[in-house]
Amino acid sequence: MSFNGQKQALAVARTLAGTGIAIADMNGPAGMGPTVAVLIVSASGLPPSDGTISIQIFPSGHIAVGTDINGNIGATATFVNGGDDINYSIAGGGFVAFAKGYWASSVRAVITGGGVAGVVDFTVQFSSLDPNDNTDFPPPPTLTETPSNTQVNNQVYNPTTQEQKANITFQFNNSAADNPNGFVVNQIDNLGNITPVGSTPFVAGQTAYTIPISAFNVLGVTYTYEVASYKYGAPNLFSNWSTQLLVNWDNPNIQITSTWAFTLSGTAPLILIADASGIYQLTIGKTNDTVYVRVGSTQTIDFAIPDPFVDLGYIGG
Amino acid sequence: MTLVVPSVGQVQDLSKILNQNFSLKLFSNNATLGPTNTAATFTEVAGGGYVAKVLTFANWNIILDNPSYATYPDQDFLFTGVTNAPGTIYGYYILDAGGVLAWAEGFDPALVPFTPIAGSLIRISPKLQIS
Repeated sequence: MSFNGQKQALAVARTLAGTGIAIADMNGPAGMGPTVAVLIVSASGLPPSDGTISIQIFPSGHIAVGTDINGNIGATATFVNGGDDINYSIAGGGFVAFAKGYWASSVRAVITGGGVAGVVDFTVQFSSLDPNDNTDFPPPPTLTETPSNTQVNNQVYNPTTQEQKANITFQFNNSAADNPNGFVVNQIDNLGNITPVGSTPFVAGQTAYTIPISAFNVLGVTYTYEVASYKYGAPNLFSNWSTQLLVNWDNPNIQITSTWAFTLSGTAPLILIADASGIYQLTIGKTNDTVYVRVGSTQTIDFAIPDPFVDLGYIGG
Repeated sequence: MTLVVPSVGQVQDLSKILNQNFSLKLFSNNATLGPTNTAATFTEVAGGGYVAKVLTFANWNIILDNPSYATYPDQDFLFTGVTNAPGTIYGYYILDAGGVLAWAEGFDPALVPFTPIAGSLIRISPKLQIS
């Protein structure tokens, strides 16, 4: 995380989970000052009161961007506990000296006391605290070309492993002859966590690149991805980050449309008789009644007679 | 002569059936589905952030069509960890307001037993159709 041009600012270091190592960048424009820079690092797994370390004010004139007092890029400092387990300061004088005119590549702090022991790396760039300082600091060096045409492709998920994968593709023409060592993909979630999740080396003559990424399905968390080139050196260089891509990892492990379907069916047993005739004609041998109904195209319907032999009052022959 | 249920009648029938609360649940046992199933056939999932869903009448969207049907918004089961023993999920079942089994369905055999972990998601899109 970086802040630009703020005279008093707080930089929260990104903590790599499980390592207690934090990296923070603080960049300022040329001529910025005075600046109070405070870095807070929380060691993984420890409560803030035990694992919180702050770098206190660096006095004016002793902070610049550049090398250490021996002319080396980067410097080593020992931070000692100020007694409250929260604030630490640099032992032996409270500052790390840098010659003006350069951007420091790193400050390495050995943290002692306060229940936290270990090495913490910082990458910092400070400006002068002197408001009358007329030194014109050069802009931070970066690689010239930013990876372009970044896209997400081949997004798939495995319901068995519950892992989701995709490819980040981008283009890098090396038009400015940056000749980087490679490219890195950052994953940024909606909670502000930034995590490098993949990389690939630069290949001379190659312009199309692919970096595979993966994630486990987590609803409610959105992820964006950005790509930059990098180059090892003193200092290490990065390009500007590419356009951020939002990747929707919202693929359920099981998705089913539950369809409850039922059909109402049947035949109509009721027959409505219209225009029924009341005249009967006896037909020898006929064992059913034929009724004229004249319903639609149906003119007659035969009905069975349970017993065709009945005694009638008819007398005839 | 075949009985005909017109679309408007289907809509009315759907409204009458759905005008109650249904419970959408997931089951963890490898139940055999059949006409003699009851609510007791299934062992409801527990733990891992699981909570049964209530399907209310107001949220059904009844569509006049041929045949007419009703849909309900997607119901997501997002798990925060493994579920209680046996830790598996084989399908879902739905109980009506009286606790009677309305219908049940097993998940694709290729996907079961499904063993959820933190971040696992099961999405069910309820639909009722009459023809």
